[in-house]
Parts: sequence; structure tokens; C-alpha cells
Amino acid sequence: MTGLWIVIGIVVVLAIAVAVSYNRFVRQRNLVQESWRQVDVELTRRHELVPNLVETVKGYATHEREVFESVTRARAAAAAPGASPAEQAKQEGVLGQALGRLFAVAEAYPDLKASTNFLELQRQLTETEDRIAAGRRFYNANVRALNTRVESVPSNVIAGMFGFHQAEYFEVQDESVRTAPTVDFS
Amino acid sequence: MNLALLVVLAIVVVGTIAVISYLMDKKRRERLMQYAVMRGWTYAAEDNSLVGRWQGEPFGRGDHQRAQNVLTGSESGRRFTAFDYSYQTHSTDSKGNRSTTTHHWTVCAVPMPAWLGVVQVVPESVFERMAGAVGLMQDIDLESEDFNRRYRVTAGNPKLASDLLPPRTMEHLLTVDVGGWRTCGGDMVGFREGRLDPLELIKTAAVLGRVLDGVPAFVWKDAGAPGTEYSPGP
Repeated sequence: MTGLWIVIGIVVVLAIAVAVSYNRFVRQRNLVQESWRQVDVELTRRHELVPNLVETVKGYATHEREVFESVTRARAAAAAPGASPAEQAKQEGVLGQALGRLFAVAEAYPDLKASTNFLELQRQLTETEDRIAAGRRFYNANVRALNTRVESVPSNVIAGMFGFHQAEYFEVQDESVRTAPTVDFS
Repeated sequence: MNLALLVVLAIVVVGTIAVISYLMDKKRRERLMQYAVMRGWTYAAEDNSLVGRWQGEPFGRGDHQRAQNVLTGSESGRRFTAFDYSYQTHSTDSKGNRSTTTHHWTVCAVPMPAWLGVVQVVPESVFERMAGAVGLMQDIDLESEDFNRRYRVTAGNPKLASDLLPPRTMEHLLTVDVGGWRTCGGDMVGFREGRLDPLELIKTAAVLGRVLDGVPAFVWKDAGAPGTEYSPGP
């Protein structure tokens, strides 16, 4: 009889442990999704700023068609819905490089550099980049916490049983989009 | 040895301890006052309005809470309020004897540009680390493993904790020993067990200031700080 109680006790403890682990996985998965949505909101804001920026630069630098087209193409690719974090990171890298060329063009036009509209757009872009960087850090920290549990023993057993998978990191490879774009106005 | 002599001896010992304690406290108060004058701070022997000003550890515990030796001033261009905080707890043993313990803390509060939600960072004990590892206790993990091992981070909004602790701030916090701190209303409050030490206070105020300097401008903007951007101290 005592043996039976011990077995029942072990089963109850195991059931509680499984429930706690499962619920923690659910919380972590939701946190990863929520933090990605926050990044996505800021990326959308960045994409929305780009057309205004291109139009402003166009007003001063009319002969830089190739640069404008590359920014527009990169922006369209980055703004396309349905990309995974890794794909999105790649597109953002391309857009960052294109924006870098656009700002390099702006350097050659003193009137553009002094334009209030351009300065304001640049300030907004800088702020958005800061928000993206902070959002990326938070998202990646949550992904790392989830992935560690998916891979670790014994939580990997629960992950396997209930179909919890590793999430993708949002790693921006291009240095120009890791930090806010800067333009020398001296 | 008769009982009367024992009683007299006990009274003498207790009296001597009380007098020595009083004299040491007096000397300490005078030293704090002198230090305050030297640094251009102000000193108040007691200000119990501070007792109920903040919530969370170490406030709201026990009874007979007091805020003594209150120093206010400015260090590195940043205002601060620091004081000795004490409270009493009581316990009764199996024989019914009641004992009272006085707990002493040092508190240092630095005003923030805007009100933020609560984020608390405290040194992590082995027990807390284990409890956090199995999910029994909140501990927000950031990207620095060293930081995660050393501190326990709790917050109502984990994103705010992440924003308040960028990599450079975490690196800095790994090189200093300032006890715990928490954003509490419009202040960042540092606290640690023990009595107020002016040199420790300057160090704590500097660390809290550095944490505030590292907070991204958009956090203050979102929190409604006056002006579009927070201007960090010199």
C-alpha cells in the first residue's frame, strides 16, 4: 500500500512539473511573439519614413536616380509582409546599405543638409533606429531564453511532446543598420 | 555574590553600553554634518516624511520606521537624497520571550526626468538563482550571462527593464558594488543594508546617474519627460 502511495506521489509531482514547464513555454513563446510585434511596429515606422526621405533628397539632388531606385526597391522588399525574422533582417540590411548611399549623396548638397525637413526626417529615422535596436535586443533575449529551454534537459522533453520549437534570432548583419545613420553637418 | 550586586552590575553594564552607543551615534552625526557642510549638502537629523515616500524593499516592513541623518545635495550635477532608514521587527521564542531587531539600511534616491514603471535590480542569491532557473521567481534574463548571474531583474514590463539596461550599463554594473536599486515613481532608489557612509553615497549616486545616462532618449520621451530629449548630467 505504501508503495502505491509513493507511485501516486511521484506521478502527481511529475504532472505538476510538466504543467509548470508547459505553462512557462507558453509564456515564453507569447513573449517572443509580442516582442517581435514591437520590432515589427518600429520597422514599419522606418519603412514609412523612407519615401519622404527619398522625395526630400530628390528635391535637391535630381541626378541621383540610381540611388533613389535602389532605396525604393530595398524599401519595397523590406516592407513586404510575411518575412521571417531572419529574412527580415537580411532585407533590413539591404535597405540600410541603400540608405547609407542616400545619406552619402546628401553630403554633396549643402542646401539639402540645411533643409529643416531633411533634418527632421533624419532625427525621426535616428529615433526609430534606436527603438529598433532596443526592440531587437529584447526580442533576441527572449528568443535566447526560449531556445535554451527547448534545448536543455529536461525541458526539451516537454518541448518535444508539445511541439515547442526554437525561434529565429533577428540578427542584422549590416553595421549601418545596427546603429543610427549619421551625417556630418559640420 | 548577592543578587543586589548582580542587579547593580547589570545596570552599570547596560548603562555603559547605552552611553557609548549614544556617544558613537552623536559622533557619527557630527561627522555627517561636517561632511555635508564640506560638500555643500544639507543635513537633517530626521525626516520621517521620507518613510512613506517609496514602496518596495526595504520600505513598508516592520514598525518604528525612521529616516535619520538625511543628506540632500548634488553630486556630478545630479541631485540626490540619502538617509539612514531603520525599522523594527519582533519575534517570540518558544518560551514566550519577545525580542526586537532593528534593521538598518542606507537609501539613496536620485530623481528621474519622468515617471517610469517599476524595474528592480538586486544582487542575486544562490537560492534566488535556483528559483529563477525553474521559473518559480521572476528573473528577467538579458544578453549578459555574467549580469544574469550577478543580479536579479524584476519588472512589471520586461521591455522597460531591457531598455533601462543596455549593454554598457550592464558592463558598468558588473564593475561596481552598489547593492540594489529600483525605479520608483519619479525616482531611482538605491538601497543596501548597513548605515550611511558618505563615500559610499557618492559612489551610489554616481552609479545611479550613470544608469540614467544610459537610458535611451525614447524611453523618456514615451514617459512624457519635459522636452523632447533627456539631457544627461555632465
